[in-house]
Amino acid sequence: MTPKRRTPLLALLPLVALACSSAPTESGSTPKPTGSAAPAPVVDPATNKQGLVLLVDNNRNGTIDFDDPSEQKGRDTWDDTHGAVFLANIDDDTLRCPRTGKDLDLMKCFDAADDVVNGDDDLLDMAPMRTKPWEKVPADATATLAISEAAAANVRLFKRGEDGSYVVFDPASATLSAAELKAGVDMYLEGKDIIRDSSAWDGFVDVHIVATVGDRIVDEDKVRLKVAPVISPNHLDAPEQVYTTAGDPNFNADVAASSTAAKLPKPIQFKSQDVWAQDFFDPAYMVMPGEGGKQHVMHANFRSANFTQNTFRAAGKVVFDLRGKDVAAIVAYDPRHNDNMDSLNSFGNMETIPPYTLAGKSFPYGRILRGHIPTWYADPTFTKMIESQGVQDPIYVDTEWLIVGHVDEFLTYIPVSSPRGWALVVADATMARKMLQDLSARGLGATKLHEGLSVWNSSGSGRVSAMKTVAQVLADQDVMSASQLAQGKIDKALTIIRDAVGLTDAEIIRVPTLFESEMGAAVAWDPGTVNGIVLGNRFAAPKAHSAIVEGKDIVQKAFEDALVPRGMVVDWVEDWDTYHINLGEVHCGSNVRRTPPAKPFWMQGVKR
Amino acid sequence: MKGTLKILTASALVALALASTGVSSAAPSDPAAGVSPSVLVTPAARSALQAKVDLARMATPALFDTLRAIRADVPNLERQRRGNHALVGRILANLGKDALLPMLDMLVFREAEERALEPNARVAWRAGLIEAIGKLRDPFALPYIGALLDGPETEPHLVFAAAQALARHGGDESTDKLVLRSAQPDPKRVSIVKALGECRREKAARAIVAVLESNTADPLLSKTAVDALGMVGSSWAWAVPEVAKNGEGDRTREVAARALIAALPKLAVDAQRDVAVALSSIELAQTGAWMQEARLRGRVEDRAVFDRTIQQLRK
Repeated sequence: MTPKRRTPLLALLPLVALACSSAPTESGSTPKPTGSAAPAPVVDPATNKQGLVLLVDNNRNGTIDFDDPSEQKGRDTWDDTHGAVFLANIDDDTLRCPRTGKDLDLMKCFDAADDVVNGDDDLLDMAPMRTKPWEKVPADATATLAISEAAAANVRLFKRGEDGSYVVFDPASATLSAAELKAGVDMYLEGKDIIRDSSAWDGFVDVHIVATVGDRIVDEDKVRLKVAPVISPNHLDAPEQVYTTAGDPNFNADVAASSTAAKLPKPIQFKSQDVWAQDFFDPAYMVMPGEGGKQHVMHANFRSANFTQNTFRAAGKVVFDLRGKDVAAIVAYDPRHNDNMDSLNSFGNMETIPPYTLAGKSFPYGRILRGHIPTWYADPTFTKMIESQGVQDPIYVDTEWLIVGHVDEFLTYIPVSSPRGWALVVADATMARKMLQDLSARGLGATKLHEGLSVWNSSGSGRVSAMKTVAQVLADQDVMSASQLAQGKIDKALTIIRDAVGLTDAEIIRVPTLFESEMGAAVAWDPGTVNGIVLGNRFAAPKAHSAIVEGKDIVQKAFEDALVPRGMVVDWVEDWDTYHINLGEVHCGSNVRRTPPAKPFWMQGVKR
Repeated sequence: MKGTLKILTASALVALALASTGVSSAAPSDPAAGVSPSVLVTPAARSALQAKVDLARMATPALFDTLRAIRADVPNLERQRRGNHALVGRILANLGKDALLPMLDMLVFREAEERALEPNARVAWRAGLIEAIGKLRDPFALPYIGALLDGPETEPHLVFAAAQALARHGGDESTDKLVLRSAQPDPKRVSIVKALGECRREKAARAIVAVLESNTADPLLSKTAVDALGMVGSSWAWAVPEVAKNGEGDRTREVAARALIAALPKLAVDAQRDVAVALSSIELAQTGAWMQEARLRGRVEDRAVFDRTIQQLRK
């Protein structure tokens, strides 16, 4: 048995002749392809093709294996079992890009923005391609490569030269010589962008190589590759790093304590006046097969499509500051989008429902959840980009009833020990009202809520008290009607999510929250405990500041009673002054980078 | 007060003001500030307000100072805001009923001083003022709020806040004004219909029903009307004794529920889901029976939507 020769992806193959036993296939007078024209079907993509053979990492083990049949089998197709994957090479491996400057200039700098290979790390982000040494290539043969038309503008080919350097191989004009074909050619395909609009480019790349002698085709081959989708993590993915902004020491101390307890590094604090770290960027990632069979990860931070009055949300520039080796920045927005709906473009309005399977349909990376309906919708360009990734088919719910309009205001997900592995936690106004009614019935109507807190505090100018009694809240028809409407709208969203996911009542954990209305829409009246961050088995929730009965905050107790038996540890975070009164909570003021699951998407049965 | 960090409840401010025997720290009304161009009231109404404001300024100067400080802080609140506007209304509403005249002073006489605010901050400030005034449900404010609604102001948040303030008062005069305006096809109509949801009167419900019945094909207006019917019939609001005492609760809720059921098959899918939301807010025991009745009486092809809605209500 001939031992399988495994070639590391980065091995710099000398261009020397290697043995090749069979004669070239001669396929008659097929027209010669030119440039990036659509390739003709390949006649024989068999597992043992000889002659002109173009190989990629078809079996997704991180190497190109000349003698492994799985590397050749069906390489002109791509599905969940085979087909090469490459990354959009939009990180900055050599840290050459500026971190500050004009938005549009910052957007233009990334590794694939130039036509050079930016070091060995850069090659790891590309798809290696090799022609198998073709010993019996006709001496006067040349070969051309054609890239499928839709992909042509989104990829670039590099060819390794004899001196080990890489030069751009332009399919429109460049050819491979007989000597190169005889020795075998070492190439890389670089993704210049992510999928933006799957109707224009679905991420697939067909590379068609054709060898000719004069006008006669003597052999050809074809491979299909796909750019990795950008995937948003979910709360079951292991946390790596917490982000906040500087400015509220109490908040940051509490978040840091929770982060430390979760055995994470110290949170990174952005120096930003915009305190909504959840909103202005969002960590995501792309993966491809890497060395040693491990997945090669490129983190990718979305900049929010917040763009009003012809201006980007300034804090979103953090994605360029974070950009570096294996960390990309992604921007997608329509400058003409409706400014009044711009809040929907913040990432508090983009959460990921964890993985599930329903009726035989599997979502191994979960599904995006956003507030987005025909009369109240997010940026269409960003939305199209998210939908186009094809692996986290978004679910849309109505958040028009909320002032801020974000899904994180009323639900979250926690890991639990159950067949599904997670449960949905949802704000419940009925529960909150009932708790206050019970207190009232016990003669505790004078019990204070939000005691010692203010709805406005301005150093040197005074404060306005936020304190109310239980009786006052129950007698406040505005809070009551806003809360009831909120309950109905939350139920409406739950109906959609339940139907899509197949959640049972037992998988929905209800926690008490009242809502108030201002400017015709709702927001959490008391700190929305559901609006926290999940760090492994810890949940960092906003301190509720509700009624203290028998020494315990009744909302915090209800929250702990709901989550602790399910294996979560609750960390209470003080967010009132900076976040709650400005219409957000712990989740809104923080963000979390997470580790992609060990099983990559190409092993998950993800189908387009 | 400046230079200290202190909780300013309305009662504390009043106490402070009453204890004050010296000259008020607040400036007198400034005629140069001009009459607000968006609150066009009669000279008599202006004078009546001016007289009350002057008295209030002497009684509670600190409240006037506080309002000025909050207004000065609006740009900062705007910088920190999440969403389209900073929420000023809940700050002002928490000042209590003694803040009514200082707020009306700001609304009617001091609009010119808002020129220093960016447009978005101005909307946040002014909407907050109107909303907080509305929450006090004081009939003295009605002519000024009504004038604002009738005036040249077209900014949707401000129009809605004014309509909502009238709706929240719920008196005959303010309700009739909204009912009349809700039937008129003008750009303020959506705001007025939405606001009527907070007017817990049977005639408000009937006005919303009229809008719904004649606009089921209009996605925005029909959705607004559906939500408004849920609000006007909110069982939690009607459970508040202050609301229930007008005795119109049962009729109002029935009018709203029956209209929602009747409109159900004619609405777009998202609005149909909102019908379930509204019916769950109205929370009448007869809803299920009325739904079944409408289902059987209606067209066979409409039965699925009734079934779906019944299912949604059960969930």
